[in-house]
Amino acid sequence: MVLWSSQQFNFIALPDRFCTGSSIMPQKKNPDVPELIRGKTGRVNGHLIALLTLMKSQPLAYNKDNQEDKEPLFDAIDTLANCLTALIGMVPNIQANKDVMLDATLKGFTTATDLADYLVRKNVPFRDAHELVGQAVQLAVRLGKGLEELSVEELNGPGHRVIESDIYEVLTLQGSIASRDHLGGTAPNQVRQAIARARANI
Amino acid sequence: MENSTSQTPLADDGGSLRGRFNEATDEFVQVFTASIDFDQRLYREDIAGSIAHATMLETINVLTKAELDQIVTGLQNIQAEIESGRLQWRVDLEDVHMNIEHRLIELIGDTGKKLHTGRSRNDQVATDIRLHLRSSIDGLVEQQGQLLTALADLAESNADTIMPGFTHLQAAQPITLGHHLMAWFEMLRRDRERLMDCRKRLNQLPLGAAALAGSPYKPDRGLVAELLGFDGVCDNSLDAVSDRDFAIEFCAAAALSLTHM
Repeated sequence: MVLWSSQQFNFIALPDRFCTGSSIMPQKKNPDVPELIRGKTGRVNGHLIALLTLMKSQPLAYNKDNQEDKEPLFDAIDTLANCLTALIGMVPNIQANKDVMLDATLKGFTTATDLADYLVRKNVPFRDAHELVGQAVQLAVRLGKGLEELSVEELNGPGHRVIESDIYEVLTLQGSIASRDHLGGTAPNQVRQAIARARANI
Repeated sequence: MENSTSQTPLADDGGSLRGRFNEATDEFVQVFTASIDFDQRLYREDIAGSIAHATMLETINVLTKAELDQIVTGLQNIQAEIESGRLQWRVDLEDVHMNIEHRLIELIGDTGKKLHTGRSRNDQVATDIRLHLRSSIDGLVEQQGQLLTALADLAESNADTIMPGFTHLQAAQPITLGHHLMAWFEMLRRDRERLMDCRKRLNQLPLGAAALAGSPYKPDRGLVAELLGFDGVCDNSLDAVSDRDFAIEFCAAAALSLTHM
């Protein structure tokens, strides 16, 4: 959340009431709550180590040492409860910046694996396909284009003619996502099924 | 039955636990060893445990029915005093157990002194902590359920939202935000299962182990377990008073959960 709400990512917007300002920089919207949750991990890890150390080498049975079990345990309970309370308040109010996410996906040659998988379906061994796609990405970087903006000739390169015009459907983001259509995959209908299974388990 | 107003005077220092000593506890030691500042949050469990213990003592003829009624009423009154902020916690009484027992004796007299028959603070506190952690886990599991539902809702409304999936924080392959959120769902679901699993192992009754060896009153530990909602009783009296595995398991589960959050 901290990373995604930064200006550099800008994937999500956190609700204002869970953020704070800066004492000097008027423009700041700091994600203090997710940061604190991140920071609180340290104290709970510390409590775990404290208890493990406390119990090591105690002779049976009760020793006064055991009185030291309470504060770490109680604080671990309270910290986890508070962090859950914060997330229960924040999660339903997270705004996804869908355009920014889409743009970031288009820019990252994220369908390169799909191009390789296309070549595999055309009987190119995967290792060779990996190499060919690497060359296509290199060309696209040089031309400042996305893979889907290259011509069929550019995609094929000098050595072969395996790629045809049906490649452009494969190189769409929707096509890429829809192709991962199996249990645990990212295809939207699989995600919906996963959500339905998950709800039954809550 | 004894007259509830007649009572032998208590020593001023540390309740009545200093019969074998010739001097009072050092003031620093009193503060250094006291736990009342933080164990007072166990008062509900301590009182519930005492009521269950007393109920059992009546069935094995250690207490009369009238004495049991006095003790139960006294403990209920103390709970009301605590919850309305009227009970003054005393450091010289060390801990929550002695504070409540001392107040009980103030309220109902000598009958109150019989409550601790066949019991030690060792098995008493082990019982209190287990009860407290059990109800805490129940609350946390409920909260985790709410968070999981919120994640599933957000994932559902973003099942078609395209984003880059990352490896090495470099754009890797297209995924949906819904898919990404469901990855968090899986982590938090496992965290929840770990707490439920911890609850299973902690839900055994230590009371009846007394100091470490058991007690000669042949306590009906099964009855106490049933009254307090335990699934069974700790099998070994030494282990019953010494075991803190459940606290470690809980902290391990909490630490991993915080790692995920």
